[in-house]
Order: sequence, then C-alpha cells, then structure tokens
Amino acid sequence: MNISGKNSISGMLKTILQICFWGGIAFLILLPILLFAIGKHLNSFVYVLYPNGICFLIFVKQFIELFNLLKENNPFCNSTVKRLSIAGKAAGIISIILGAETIFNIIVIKDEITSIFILGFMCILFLGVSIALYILSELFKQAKEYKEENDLTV
Amino acid sequence: MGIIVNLDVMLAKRKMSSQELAEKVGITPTNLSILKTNKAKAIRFSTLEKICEILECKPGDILDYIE
Repeated sequence: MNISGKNSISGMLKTILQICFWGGIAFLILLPILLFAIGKHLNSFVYVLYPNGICFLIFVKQFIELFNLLKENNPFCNSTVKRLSIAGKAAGIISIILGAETIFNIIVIKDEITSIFILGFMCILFLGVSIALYILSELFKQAKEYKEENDLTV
Repeated sequence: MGIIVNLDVMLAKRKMSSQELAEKVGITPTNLSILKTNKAKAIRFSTLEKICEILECKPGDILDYIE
C-alpha cells in the first residue's frame, strides 16, 4: 500500500486529515451551541477541551502540510523538521493539560475512577507521541544534513 | 576560511569555458558551479583526477588553504 505516487491511498489520507481538521474546528465552534440546545452548562471538562482541541488542530495542520511536502517529493528540508517539532510541542502541551486535569480530578473533584484512568492513560499516550515526534524531527534533521552533504559532493 | 577552490584561475590560464570543462569531466554544469563558488562540501578523488587530467595541472593548483 503506497502512501504517495500512483495507485496510492494519498487521496483518502488527505480527505481524512481534512475531515479531522475542519471537523475539529466545526466541533469546537458548535460545542457551546449543542450543549445549550440539550440544556447543559459549560463545565470544567469542556473548558479543558478548548486548549486541547486547539493544540490538536495545530497538530493535524502540521501533518496536512507534511503530506503536501511528501507529494512534492521534497521531504528532507527545514520545513519538515520544523513541522515535526511543532507537532511534538503541540502533543506535549496536550499531555501536560491532560496530566493537570487528571491531578485536578483526583484531588479536587474526586471523580469516579474510570474517568481518571482514561485521562491518565491519554496523558501518557500523548506524552509518548510527543517524544516520538521529537525523536523523528531530530532524525529528519540529521537526514537533511546527510542529504545536503551528498548533494554538495561533486 | 578553510579550503578554497581556484578553478577560475586555472580555467582562464587554459582558456577553457566552464561548460566545456563540465562536459569533458562528465559532471553537470550545476555541480561545477557549486565547486567554483566554494559551496561544495566534498570532492570525489575521481572528479579531482579528471579535472587535473583535463586542465593538465596538480590538485594544489586548484585547491588552496587559507587561514
């Protein structure tokens, strides 16, 4: 299964990424209206959803741009390194927010154990993603340097 | 400064154009331009050998070290 080029799933992948991005924006805008419609108020969980949602949108946007770079057959450039590092930072911020919410839930709200477990698990998950993206961005940085050296060898 | 390439001087002495040298050595004019403008990070011995052969000179005539 090729990601780019002929007979690839690039069109499908791009559509999914676009749905994630625009669907996310639409969800964040419509959320207060939807909550109001079903007669519920904004609570702390919803407030946390916003910074998380914005970070996630930044995260997805980086991957849309990376996908465009892949299509241009120029993946080893400064832009890739920068975008991966921004995506890593966004995932890190999501992880920190989720971690703070977990601790807040344990100490202040004393919520049921299931939601604390889910939040804690997601915090660890995004921490892993963040570290992985940082490593990848460092990898791409070195690959870019190697490519540059190779290109400038006569 | 480090290593600099004095290919221009040698080309002028031999009254040869860059295009001609690139063709004879078998590298692209773009790569020769990289070499001439000191942007190159490395040069293969085979390329250096060919350049020396065609320009009838020694590597020291093309390459120089400046502190």
